[in-house]
Amino acid sequence: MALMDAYTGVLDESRVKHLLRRATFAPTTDNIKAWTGRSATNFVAMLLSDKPIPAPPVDPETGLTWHDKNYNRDKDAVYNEHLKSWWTGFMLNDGVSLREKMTLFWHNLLVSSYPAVQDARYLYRQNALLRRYAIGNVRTLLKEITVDPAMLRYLNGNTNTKASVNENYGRELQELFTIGKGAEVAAGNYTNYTEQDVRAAARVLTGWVDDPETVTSRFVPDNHVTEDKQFSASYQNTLIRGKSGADGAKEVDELLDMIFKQDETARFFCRKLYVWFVGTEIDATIEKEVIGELANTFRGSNWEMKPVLEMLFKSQHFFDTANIGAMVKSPIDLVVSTVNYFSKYLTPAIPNQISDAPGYYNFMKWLWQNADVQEMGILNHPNVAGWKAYYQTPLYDRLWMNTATLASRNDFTDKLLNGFTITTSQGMKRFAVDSITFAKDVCTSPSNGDDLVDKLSVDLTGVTLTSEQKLYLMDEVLAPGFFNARGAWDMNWSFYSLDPDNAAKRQAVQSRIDNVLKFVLQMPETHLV
Amino acid sequence: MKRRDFLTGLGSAAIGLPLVLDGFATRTFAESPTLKHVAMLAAAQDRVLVLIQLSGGNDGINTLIPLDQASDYYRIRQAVAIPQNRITKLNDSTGLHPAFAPIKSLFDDGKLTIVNGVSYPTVNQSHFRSTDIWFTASDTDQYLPSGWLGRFVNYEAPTYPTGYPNDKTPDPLAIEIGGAMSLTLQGNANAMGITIRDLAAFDQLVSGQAATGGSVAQRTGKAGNRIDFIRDVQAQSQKYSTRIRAVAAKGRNLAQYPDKGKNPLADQLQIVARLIAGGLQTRVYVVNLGGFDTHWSQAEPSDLTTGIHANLLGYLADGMKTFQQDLKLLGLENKVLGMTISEFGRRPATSSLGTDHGTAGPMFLFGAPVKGGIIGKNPSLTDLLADGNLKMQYDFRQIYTSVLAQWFQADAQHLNNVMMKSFDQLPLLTTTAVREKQGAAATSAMTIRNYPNPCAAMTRIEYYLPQSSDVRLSLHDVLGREVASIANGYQAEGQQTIQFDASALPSGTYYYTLRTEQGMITGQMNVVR
Repeated sequence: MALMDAYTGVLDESRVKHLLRRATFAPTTDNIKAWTGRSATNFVAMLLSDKPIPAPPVDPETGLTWHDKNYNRDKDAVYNEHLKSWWTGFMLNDGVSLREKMTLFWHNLLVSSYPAVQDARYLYRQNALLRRYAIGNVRTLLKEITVDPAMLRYLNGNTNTKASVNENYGRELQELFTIGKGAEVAAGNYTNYTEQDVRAAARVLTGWVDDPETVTSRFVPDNHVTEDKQFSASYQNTLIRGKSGADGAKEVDELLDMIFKQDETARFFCRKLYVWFVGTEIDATIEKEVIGELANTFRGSNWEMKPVLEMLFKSQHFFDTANIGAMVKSPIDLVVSTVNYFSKYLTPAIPNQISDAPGYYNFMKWLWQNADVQEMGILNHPNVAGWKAYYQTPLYDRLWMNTATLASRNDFTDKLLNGFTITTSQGMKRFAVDSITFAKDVCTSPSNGDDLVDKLSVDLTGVTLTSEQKLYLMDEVLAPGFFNARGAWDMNWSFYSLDPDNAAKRQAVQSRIDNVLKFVLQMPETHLV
Repeated sequence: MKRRDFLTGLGSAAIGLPLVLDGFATRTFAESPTLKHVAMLAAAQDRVLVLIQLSGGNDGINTLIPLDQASDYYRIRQAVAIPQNRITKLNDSTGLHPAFAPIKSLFDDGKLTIVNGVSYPTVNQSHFRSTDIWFTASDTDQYLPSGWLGRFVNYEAPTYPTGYPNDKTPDPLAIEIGGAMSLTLQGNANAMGITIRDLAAFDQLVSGQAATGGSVAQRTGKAGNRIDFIRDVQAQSQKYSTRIRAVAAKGRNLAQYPDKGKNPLADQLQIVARLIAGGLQTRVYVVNLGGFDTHWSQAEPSDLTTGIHANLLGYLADGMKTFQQDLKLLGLENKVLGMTISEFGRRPATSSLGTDHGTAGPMFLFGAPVKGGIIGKNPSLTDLLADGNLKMQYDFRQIYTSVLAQWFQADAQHLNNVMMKSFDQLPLLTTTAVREKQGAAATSAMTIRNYPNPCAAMTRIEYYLPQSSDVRLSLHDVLGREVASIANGYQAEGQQTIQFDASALPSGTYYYTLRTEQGMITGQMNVVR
């Protein structure tokens, strides 16, 4: 049985959770219920269904767009925040879809950051591009990104001229964006490409500039190196004929065709997908049976992403129990998915995008700021290689966890229960999870403490808690300090049920449920995905 | 020679004379396992290394300007060259970028050693790989999963984190200021340090008990591996947070640092100084200043002395200088060595308005312990490698080896364990700094005792100074905490006697340390009632 054979049975609850957690930002109780017992085929079809292109971001104070106006020096940094909030809103509301996780995937692979680009309109344009091709054609996306105005700024392509060749993009295109670096078999020879290829690619790419008037890019023939570009044996000694005039712009296509013709390029993307969605340990078997098969599909589909994702998310390997809960949850996943999980129970409700745009944007800002402080800032990568958790051996996803980020993660989840303040159009509002309503929804007999702690935790932890851990939650967290913890809880719940408007009685049970949720949200098992 | 050999030798007559060759002692000692408490005291008094990572690849040629090749410099570097009348002369052949000029006073005071042309054979031009090479101290084609400082502290703490903190080592072995742990501090199996983002946040956020969920559930596989990892992080933050909070509350800064947020490096160094001043026994600190990848906008065309590189050099110079001033005011100058690293230098030929990835660059070692001056010569701008890059004069691992051997007194076995190979040392430290650590000849003439001993209240401490010197006599408990400062100031050579009242101290064993310009000596006092 091959690893990439389709998983043909119906999906049980644990596999539904696994797929929702890995492929979406919506592992909510409703979605878990809705998809349990259905086939992977149906589920993946839903994940890959196309969605309309969303409306552009606005200035929530005025309701007006800014991406199509002139650069506004005074407000640009604020627009960049609005852009991030707008984007975060899509993640939170993406539902059972791969689009936003793939948009984020591309953002982490084809990095541009605000501190370097310094124009929110450019980054909006790039973000829309990544979303448009999130599950689309990768060859086309790479062409678009190569001449994308934000990328031209971020990697200095806009200063790459025949008078002064700038190698930055030509290098990263190969090292980080398409084929990747192999073993350095000789000085300047990285197996898949060489320093000669870096220089040749840089010369192919000369002449592209960005235009701040229109937020587009264009090709300036006078700045283009018109001589032939000779590539190394890594690329079968390909020669790209120098072209003059407007034809010089066509060399980019020849360059990408040359790179995409290499077997390693398909493997490179498939490895990146694997690390993003499945796991970081790629041994010889996985390289051969998983990466190899995905890469075949990728090439066979002429660089369409959908067949690759379909194969991956329907495979036996993806659903292997060894892969369930086997990664540390990324900060964006922690922040967005956890808020999504509790969103029905947030009091007051998350501000409406239309009727309270300032509140909506501020709420989303609170989310991305929390991810930022946990070291996963969107449009704020530390460098062009993306977040370390996706490439730094040997720790990979474990790098999300250190003494600083752990404190920030705990701070975030505590605030969901303790409350946090957001400025809305009706002034400052304090938001918190109504844990009693939540408890009643997930548990039919909340007076039974053992059943309650089980239901409070079961959808949050990446792997199932042991019976000992649940006993601890019952005895030491839900009702600590009682000789008969179960009796004490049952009694307090009855007091509350008989007199639900009594604040003190409500507080007595709510604070204890809050404690369980805060504790569960801090458990290592909950940091897994 | 190992640190503990020296200390165990001190109390006895067994101390021998080191063979000093050009300031470097080479001597072997039989290892004695006894008198661990004295070694422990030494740990409390131990030396500190502060590593400043300049991420992105600092342009050494515009940091230290080769005035001896002025015509070549202005010919090759038009796009970024600093006008002659804006250069501060370090000496006749070398000038400073105006933004970096504040370090001249450090240099003039003999507190800055510059090593020119530092690199490694066959430089890898990828930021990430080259950074890893500097972090792991590997050969260009060698993969090492651990960092050099991680291995260094791992050698002395082989079981870490199991059994840590303990009475002997109550503090983190290494601290990185920032959100994420770099590879530098990765040990053979574990990250050997902790991360602190900033003290206020750390203090505020790390609270409460770690949520392990009762008895630790044993889990296997990839998920189990992550759970163990997260538990370790939880345990680390919990174990050290109390201690770090206490130390941070006790420590202070005496120099005037730039306002928070104005200089990202100074912000970090301020935290480091405060922790050292508070008595934290951590020996290795890592801080980071990013943005040196100046392909573009390295210098503003309108004024080449401004721009990204100027800002960064300003941060670096002001940061180093303020930190050094703080240490001096705190009386900690002799205890702290600073060192900068950067993954590579930049190419002599400029591109657009910036510079491309290069090879060799200067390293800066600063602090009272350094010898001062310049090692090596200005890199030649015309005698270049085939790819147009600077030639190497020193391997960065020579400096690492010198720091470990001279500053931390790592013995041959330890050095071999960390560096894997033998590298020739450079004369980085003053002979005093080297000798003080070793308890060289001068200290053998120093004597110290107290009478009566054991004592109940009053006791007389007598010591002999072979030369007049600034002295500091302090008393420590068995945890190495200073409980009394007995003498502090200049004293004439000869016999000295001080009456000390121990009546305020609980019964127990204490150690007093006499530090002089000639060395350090320790004695034991027992308080019995």
